[in-house]
Amino acid sequence: MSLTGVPLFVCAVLATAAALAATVLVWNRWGRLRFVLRPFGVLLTEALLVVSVGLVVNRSQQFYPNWAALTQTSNSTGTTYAVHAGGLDGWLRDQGGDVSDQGSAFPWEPAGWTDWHLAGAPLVFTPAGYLKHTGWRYPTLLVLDDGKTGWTTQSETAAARSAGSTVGPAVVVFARITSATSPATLTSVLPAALAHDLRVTDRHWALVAPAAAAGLADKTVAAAPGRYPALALVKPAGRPAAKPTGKKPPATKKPATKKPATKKPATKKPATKKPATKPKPPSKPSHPTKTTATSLPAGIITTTVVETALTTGTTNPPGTAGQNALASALAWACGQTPPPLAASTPAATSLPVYHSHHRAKRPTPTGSGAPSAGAPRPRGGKRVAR
Amino acid sequence: MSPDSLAIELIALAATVVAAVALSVFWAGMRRWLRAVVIAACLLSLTATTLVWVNRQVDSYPTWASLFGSPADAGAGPTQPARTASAATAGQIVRFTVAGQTSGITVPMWVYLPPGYKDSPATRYPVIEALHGYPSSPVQWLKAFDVAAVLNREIGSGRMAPTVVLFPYQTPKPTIDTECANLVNGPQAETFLTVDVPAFVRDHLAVRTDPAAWGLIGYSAGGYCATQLALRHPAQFAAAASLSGYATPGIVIGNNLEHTEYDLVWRLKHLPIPAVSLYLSCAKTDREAMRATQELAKAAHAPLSITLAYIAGGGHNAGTWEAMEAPAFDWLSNSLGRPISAPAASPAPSTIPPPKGTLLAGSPAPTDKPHN
Repeated sequence: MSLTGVPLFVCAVLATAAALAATVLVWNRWGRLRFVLRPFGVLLTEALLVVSVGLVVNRSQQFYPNWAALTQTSNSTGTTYAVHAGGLDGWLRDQGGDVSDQGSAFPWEPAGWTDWHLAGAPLVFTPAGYLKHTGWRYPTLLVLDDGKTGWTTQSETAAARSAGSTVGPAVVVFARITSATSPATLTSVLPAALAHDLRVTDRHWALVAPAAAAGLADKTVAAAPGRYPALALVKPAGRPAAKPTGKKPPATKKPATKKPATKKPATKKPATKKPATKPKPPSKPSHPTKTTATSLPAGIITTTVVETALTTGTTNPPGTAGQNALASALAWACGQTPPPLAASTPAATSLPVYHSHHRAKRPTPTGSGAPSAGAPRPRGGKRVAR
Repeated sequence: MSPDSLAIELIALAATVVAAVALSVFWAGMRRWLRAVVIAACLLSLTATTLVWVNRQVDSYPTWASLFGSPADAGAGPTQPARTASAATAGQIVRFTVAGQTSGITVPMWVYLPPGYKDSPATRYPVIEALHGYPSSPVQWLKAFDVAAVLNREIGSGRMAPTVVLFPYQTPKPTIDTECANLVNGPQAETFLTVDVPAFVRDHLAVRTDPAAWGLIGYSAGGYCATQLALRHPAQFAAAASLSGYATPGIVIGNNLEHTEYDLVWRLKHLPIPAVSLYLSCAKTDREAMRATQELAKAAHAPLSITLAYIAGGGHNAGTWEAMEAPAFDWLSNSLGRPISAPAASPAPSTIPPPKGTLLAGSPAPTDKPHN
């Protein structure tokens, strides 16, 4: 009989009536026994009355839809899902790992990357502690490099390192985009390949792009707002006339011969860095505020990091300033993402496990982000990484 | 001895039994009017027992002050001596009173401070506003769902980032169901939750103030609240988790708003959709919430992100929400910005005072409930 059905309710009402009638009937009979039967009858009637009312309320509100719900236990602890090792974790370890504990960068050549219309293999930066915390999955910062920024592998690595030390760990991917690079590559193909090769999360990443690539960046964010809810644009230095409307600013591209710059530039950030919600803040009052960001939906967080002429021209060598802006943009983007976390306590449907059907399960010690001694060392698979 | 304590329940039960026995034993010797009085006492004590039991389930009136006094009285709850127990592994529950300048609502708010909060004054934490059902109060989070222990466990195991979690009242009077909306000619609950509470938290706690680090969670009516506030205020909240929430307020807000912009399915179909993330969880047997969840999922599309989590079994009750809360908090933490260090140049670190609220629980020990 259903807990919320009419039959049970009718039974309860009939039982209440019967108990009341019986109580009245025995009230003046049964000799001294009536002093036991009377209170018993009264209390039984009362209890059945409460049950009847309770059944009506439960029927209308469906608090307990069935008998099983009455006896359920709510213990949701004890099970978590394993975080599966990235396909390149073993290869990274074989490379000597993260010796200096500062994070390491390598050119990433996953299968099929040549179809992505990139100017070169993406540079991937794995943060400090990546190999140590095998139970964590990392958010990713995707940086679009259109080749006109003057960024070099060294400066990009240094900027990623700087952001990692000031804000926190994240995987950083520098994609050498071309005019043929499509948003779909950045929203699904590249993330899928990265999820195969590294322990990365599947949403809430952040995107960093030079202002000249704002068009592609906006399209990417608009196509995958769940993956890229935050966008930082880096504006070149000393170009107050450059408009961020997707047009390429002329001649910003001196290859900027620069030193590796291993020192942290985090002490000085461009003063114009500020987050805002929907409209990108005009970085300078004289700028036209119309940007392509007007097409982005509410909830997307954008910022613009501008290299001010004051900080670039006078004191710093040319390359360092550009790197400061990149590091600031990366630091801001990193702050928009969650920290690396262990696999969530599983809900009924949302399993945070990658590729469980592709490879044997490698359960890592669950419920702790602590490094494990017997960490799995999967091989790099087919991925080629130099 | 609060109105939701076991002692009160037993006293009411004893009164019920005593009244029934008195009626039975002294029936013959009683005059007619006295019989009527005792019968009334029987019914009253029975009603009281039932209501106390219900209140113990939903904690609508956690204190006598909230029952007899003004709205969720500020003096609610006995204060316990502050504990200096190590906050290394256990968060703390602190109670504040938020006097809403804009909304005019003044009610208590409980706050969960994550482990290590006191030891790292330069850290700015992400924030989750946790909303309660109706009839209920924030105390149900703290008592029935044992939220402090759940948060300690999730944070301690690395599944969740250290986060400040707020448990505000969403109504000035326990009898008024606001659904976190600004009722026409009524309480301005939405303003309280989106203006006053954030302003208070910015002033008193070391939190991030940007929208990427603010999330919402709620159960039942609070689930509707969480979804509603995230959709209506995408510039303030990045993500919301709804446990057995509905798609409509189910109350009269006024100006027909309950059928338009506060009706979330209507809203998704007729108004611009924001880029926020929603986590909708409910029991498959919870028919109304299930229908609402499916309607929302059907109406939603990009840039809205939706994660669905159905639970087989369960219902619309505390046990189900207790089972849902840990995955929901984990999901939220995966949708919010991380704790960051305040810029060294900023004067902020020194201006954030230590919380002045009443420290109610220093550890998740079962005896450390905020009341009793």
